[in-house]
Amino acid sequence: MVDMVFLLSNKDKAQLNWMGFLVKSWIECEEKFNWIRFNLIGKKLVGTATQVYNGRTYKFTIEYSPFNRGRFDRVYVESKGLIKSFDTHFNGDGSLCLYHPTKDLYGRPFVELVDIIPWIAEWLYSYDKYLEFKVWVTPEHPHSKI
Amino acid sequence: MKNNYTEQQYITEELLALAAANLELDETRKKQMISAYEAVNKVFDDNEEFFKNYTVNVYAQGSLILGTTIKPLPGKEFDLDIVLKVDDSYLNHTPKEIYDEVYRVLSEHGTYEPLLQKKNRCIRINYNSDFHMDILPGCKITSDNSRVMIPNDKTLRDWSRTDPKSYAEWFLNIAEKHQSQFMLAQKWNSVTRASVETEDLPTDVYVKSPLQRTVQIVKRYRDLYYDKRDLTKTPAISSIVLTTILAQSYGEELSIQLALKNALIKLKSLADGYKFKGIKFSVYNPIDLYPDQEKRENFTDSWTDLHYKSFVEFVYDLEKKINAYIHNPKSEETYKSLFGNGYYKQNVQTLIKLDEALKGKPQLSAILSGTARTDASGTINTTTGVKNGRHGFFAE
Repeated sequence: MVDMVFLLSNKDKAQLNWMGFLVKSWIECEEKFNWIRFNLIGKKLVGTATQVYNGRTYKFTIEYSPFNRGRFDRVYVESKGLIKSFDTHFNGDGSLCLYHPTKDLYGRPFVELVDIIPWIAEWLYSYDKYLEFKVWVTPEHPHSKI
Repeated sequence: MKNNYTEQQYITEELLALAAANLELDETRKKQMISAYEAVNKVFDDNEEFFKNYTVNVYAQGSLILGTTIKPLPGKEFDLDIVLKVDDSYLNHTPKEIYDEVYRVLSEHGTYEPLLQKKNRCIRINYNSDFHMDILPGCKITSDNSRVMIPNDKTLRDWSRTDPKSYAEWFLNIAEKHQSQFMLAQKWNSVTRASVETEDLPTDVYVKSPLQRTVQIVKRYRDLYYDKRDLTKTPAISSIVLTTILAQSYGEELSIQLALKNALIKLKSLADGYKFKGIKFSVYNPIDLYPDQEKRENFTDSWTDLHYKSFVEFVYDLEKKINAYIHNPKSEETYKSLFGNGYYKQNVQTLIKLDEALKGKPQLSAILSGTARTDASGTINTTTGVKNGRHGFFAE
């Protein structure tokens, strides 16, 4: 039988070899970051982390899977009195919107998790400034439907 | 010198200074205007007829020399006021003669002829740009001072005394007293002592006086307040009236926030004086010390009841907006209500960048310039960890 894998999209390839894909992501992230604990749960790589920033505690849950619709990542955060709005870059489903799903790909088929984690750090930094100044000080795209 | 300012007071002060600085005409535009009036000066220097025997001095008056310029609102033009002083006694000429000669020389010049417009006492050059130049022609009074005689009104029959250069000296003397003790000058000193990289932090923001900033802020709100109003029913308060009242009421405050509060007390007392007691105050040129006060230059001599009513309404509204802003300076809403749309986010970014530079942790600069990294513990820095990729936050 002829191997037709080359005909698949990058997402299809990641789905086809989901275990290898997620383990590779896990290893990459653990090498670079020690503040997140990862586990494979079903067909998802799930990271959990707690950060204390300016006296406030933030609990992050990161889900990464090629089976997610659209973006592979779903990043959730909880904190006391958290302001969840478009201004603080929450999607309608309650996850963080850390990048534009098309404009920020720059030729990539999807964004690797190891590249997403620094944006979580930027979100935390920006959100803390937002609480003080009520304005998002780091780069953002205009809010709109794609 | 030790000071007792709180961190919050510094933030309020810096945001006020940054807001006013962003409203100011930029250096390129100021240079363009200076070139424009120097070019006019040259036209008169080169004149081979009436002005051949006289020295002519053209100089700016008003906000350009007071350091209180503000950008015009979108769709409006900056009004550059200049004096064209013929170095000959006014006793040798009539106002009409000087006015007509100035107009004639400019109208015979190919560049200026299509741009000219006769106004009441001055001649306007409408540049194909966002500013116009009002030329006020005049003659000297005596050689030992800078006073100048200008046409009294549109009839051009009588002379009227003025002295823009001495007015500027008077204003700047008041504004620049205790310069080294200004709240932000102290902060600026600490920045320079710390050798912080300041290339994108304009020095001007931190060294301009609280009085100059107060004048800019009040004038800016004046422009916003009258922008959509019918000026025949609610005449706008002129810059010279506001500038003079603000300088006279300035109590040598070392911060913009305090200068603004005290300015409001003075403005409010004048407004209340008219509102509750019908007192029509006058604003005289403070450097005109002519023995008979009634003959001194009066900046409010053309004011009618409409002007006083307009002044009262403007001051009451200004008080609300300034108090709201000072009470809550870290809000885009209060910023917009006092300064209009514009630079709140940019101002906050500048403020944070300076603060972080002083602390040796330039995180925002790194994020904005694309040089940020995230280390193993998730801290943004400029040296270790994963390089942060290019992106913008979004929401859908």
